[in-house]
Amino acid sequence: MNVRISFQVIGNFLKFLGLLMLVPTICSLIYGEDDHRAFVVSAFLTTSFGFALEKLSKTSDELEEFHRKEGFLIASLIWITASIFGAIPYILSGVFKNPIDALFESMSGFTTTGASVIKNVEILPHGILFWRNFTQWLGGMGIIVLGIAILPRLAVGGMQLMSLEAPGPTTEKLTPRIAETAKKLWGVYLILSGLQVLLLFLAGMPLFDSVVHMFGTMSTGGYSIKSLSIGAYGGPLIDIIIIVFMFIAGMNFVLHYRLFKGDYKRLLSDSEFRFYFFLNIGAILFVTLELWIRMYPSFLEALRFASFQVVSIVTTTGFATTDFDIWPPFSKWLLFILMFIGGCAGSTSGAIKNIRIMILLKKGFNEINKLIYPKAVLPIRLGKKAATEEVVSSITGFFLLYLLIFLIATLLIMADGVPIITTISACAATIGNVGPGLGEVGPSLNYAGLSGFTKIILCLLMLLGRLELYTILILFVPLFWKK
Amino acid sequence: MRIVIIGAGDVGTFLAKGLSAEHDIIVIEKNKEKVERIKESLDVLVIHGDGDNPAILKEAEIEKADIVLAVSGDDRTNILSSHLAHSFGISRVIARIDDPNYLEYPKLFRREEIFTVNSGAILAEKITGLISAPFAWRTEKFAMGKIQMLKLKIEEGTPIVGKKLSELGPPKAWIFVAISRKGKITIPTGETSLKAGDYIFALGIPSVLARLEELLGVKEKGIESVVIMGGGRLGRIVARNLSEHGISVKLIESNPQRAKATAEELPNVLVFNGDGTDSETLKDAGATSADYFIALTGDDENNVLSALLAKNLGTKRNIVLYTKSDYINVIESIGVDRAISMRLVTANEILSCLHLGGVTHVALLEEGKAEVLEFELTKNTKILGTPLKEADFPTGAIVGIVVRGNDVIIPRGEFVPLIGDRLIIFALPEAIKKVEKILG
Repeated sequence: MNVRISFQVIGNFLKFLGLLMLVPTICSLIYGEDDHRAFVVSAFLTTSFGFALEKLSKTSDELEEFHRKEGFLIASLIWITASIFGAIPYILSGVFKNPIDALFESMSGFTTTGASVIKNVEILPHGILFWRNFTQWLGGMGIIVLGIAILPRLAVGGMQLMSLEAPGPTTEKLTPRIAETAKKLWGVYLILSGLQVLLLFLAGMPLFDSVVHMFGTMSTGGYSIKSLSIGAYGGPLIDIIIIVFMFIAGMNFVLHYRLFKGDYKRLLSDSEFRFYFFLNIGAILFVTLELWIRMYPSFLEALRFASFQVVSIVTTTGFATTDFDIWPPFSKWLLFILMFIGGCAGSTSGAIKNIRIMILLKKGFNEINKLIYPKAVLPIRLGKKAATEEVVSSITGFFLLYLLIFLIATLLIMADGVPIITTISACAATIGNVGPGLGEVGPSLNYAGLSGFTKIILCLLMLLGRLELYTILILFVPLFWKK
Repeated sequence: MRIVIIGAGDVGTFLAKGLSAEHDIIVIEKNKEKVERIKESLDVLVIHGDGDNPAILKEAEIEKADIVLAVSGDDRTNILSSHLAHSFGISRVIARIDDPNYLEYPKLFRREEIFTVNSGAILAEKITGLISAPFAWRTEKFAMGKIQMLKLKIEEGTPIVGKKLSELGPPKAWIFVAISRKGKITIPTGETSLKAGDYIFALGIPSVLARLEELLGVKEKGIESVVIMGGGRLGRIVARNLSEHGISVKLIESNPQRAKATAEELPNVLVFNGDGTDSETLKDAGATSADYFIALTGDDENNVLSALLAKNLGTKRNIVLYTKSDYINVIESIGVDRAISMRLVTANEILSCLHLGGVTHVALLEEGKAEVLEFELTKNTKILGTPLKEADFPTGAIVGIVVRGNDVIIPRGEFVPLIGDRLIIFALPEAIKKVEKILG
């Protein structure tokens, strides 16, 4: 384990993060608010810390290569330090007095969870609102992917770092060079982001609101600048635009890249995409039916609320146009189950991901078929290719760990005295990077009332969920630290 | 440039590593483990699949490639995939062909369509070159053979030890372009003094270079007898080559059938069936008095051990074939006189064929720690008419020799390059890009 090289890379990354902190100051200056000082000081602190760290851990001018083990440490440290330094503006601008709250808000931002501990967002200055959603946008496509695209230091050994950050069981390279692949992915992300801002603005949303809500949508983060979330705007057109872009953000970005290149066949033949599509349609249909029968007199109204909430939860965004906590039980608990499934691999969404669920289901059905035909050869097919034995077993392992961590966390939080529905939904919503849960953490409420202990556990769940467990878990294994 | 490499064996991996610094590389490999290893260690695109499967080639977007290198360890894969690459419209295809039989059919590979590299033939040529200049640790030819490069060792007690280069008299027909001291390569100046144990790289005309023998105090008589271990393809080519030069060749092969086949194929070579690590067999084959022992089996450890054993029995010198690059640093320090790597020799040859950035020939030195490049100046070269001292050459590079028509010039700072000149340049890795920029 070469901790020195890891620190060197982290230092290099923090210099860059410091520069990114200057972006919200533009907002502060435009609106003439005095929170720009908080950002300038945070940027200075972050950059100089990064500079010192890199300087102290550097022995030569060459970009030293690092190995597998260091890769794990670097990937997790980048996320941890980003969340810690990203919390400084919240403290300096006086949004939070308690550093745990600031860390929670920052972690929830970078991991694109969208669970907030702010009681009233509408009184906050624009700079802070921008930063909150900007962290989600950075974390969505990935701060490491961004780093690889821009910093030569991260491009060395970038493939491993990227596969540790990118959601899904496997990572696909689009071009021979990793930096080029990272640039292409960010390019697609930027284009789609720009398009959404334009559409929201044309639909009547103010420009600032359009930009920050785009940050929340494209990253499937779900921070809003309104207490009522997207429901505050009330227009069906805005709902539709956000539904479409949440759906887009929950798709594999490699597919978007191929679409831009004119490859439509790939989209239609992609089995994960089809699963994702029908999962959304199916869930919308059932929820609409129940809401139509039990809650809303108009079918269209039921459809509008059902589709927004379903897509928001499946993509793990967490925006809301209505309080689904007061929905009838079937719809409410269907949404809870969907919190575990999430979007596609290679998307900006969280949770287990469609591809893993698909493989697990096929594996399950295969076992039944094997009982009928003991000698049959039954590969687990994904479109034209079959999933290898290793991938299948790693997914089974992932699924078990995911549930195990979920269970342990719920027990710990219940021990802290939190009611059962609040606990299990908070755990599912944070490990799945969704955001709002049910009960006391429902869409119309927030996480502010929880204790510091519970907040720290939820922070850890968000981080585990975003980096898909292993990258963080490996740090807790003693063998990892042995020389 | 976009380069597709088919096969990530020793040669393919080495090429991918060397070329990925400047080019976009796509590697096609069928072995899953190798795929994973390369994915982790190199910044290249790796595709898992057979290189001779058109669907896989399509997946690699082969039609966009500038160069395709079919360098797997299997000739048939290379033949098929190079032809497929050609059918996709790639104009620069290089195929590695190990079995010389395939090369006897000129219609199989039209030179303008697919360029072939036969590692066996190249290696055999290298070995013959080494034997013909026994005091050299490595030989390399440039400018169609007009210029030779020799790697020489400064032995303890020779008159040259402790002398500064400027004291050796003005260089007329040779130049020392580099010194390798304890594994570190530097470009010497007139003030550099030579130490025992140094290796020097000399460039010059072959006939003049032979006189370095006196300067270095080595006296060698002609080679009369050679023992070869390994009757594989390579062993046979080398044995035939040497016996055609009138050298008495004995060959040891452990596999009885292969020994028989070798004996039938090579009438002038005496073939023994036995183990090369067995001293009785070695004695039988005449290792007690042979001038050279050449170990050419596919097994590194066996090659080294049998070479050491033969030396212990009385063989004067030995040459060992090795594949594992980690061995280079130890292999020549434990009693092996010359170690040559199939991988390096083949990769070297392929790099030379690529003609990247105006380079017409490349020789990699010390596992790629330095390169000797040959440039032919065309009308597009920027420095035509500019004296070398004004050309802003990087410090890690030196123009060793210039061939102009039939003349060989050792250039000074005042030298003015002209169109058609062949420049032979020694360069350290960090300087190569700049040199290519100046001359490209």
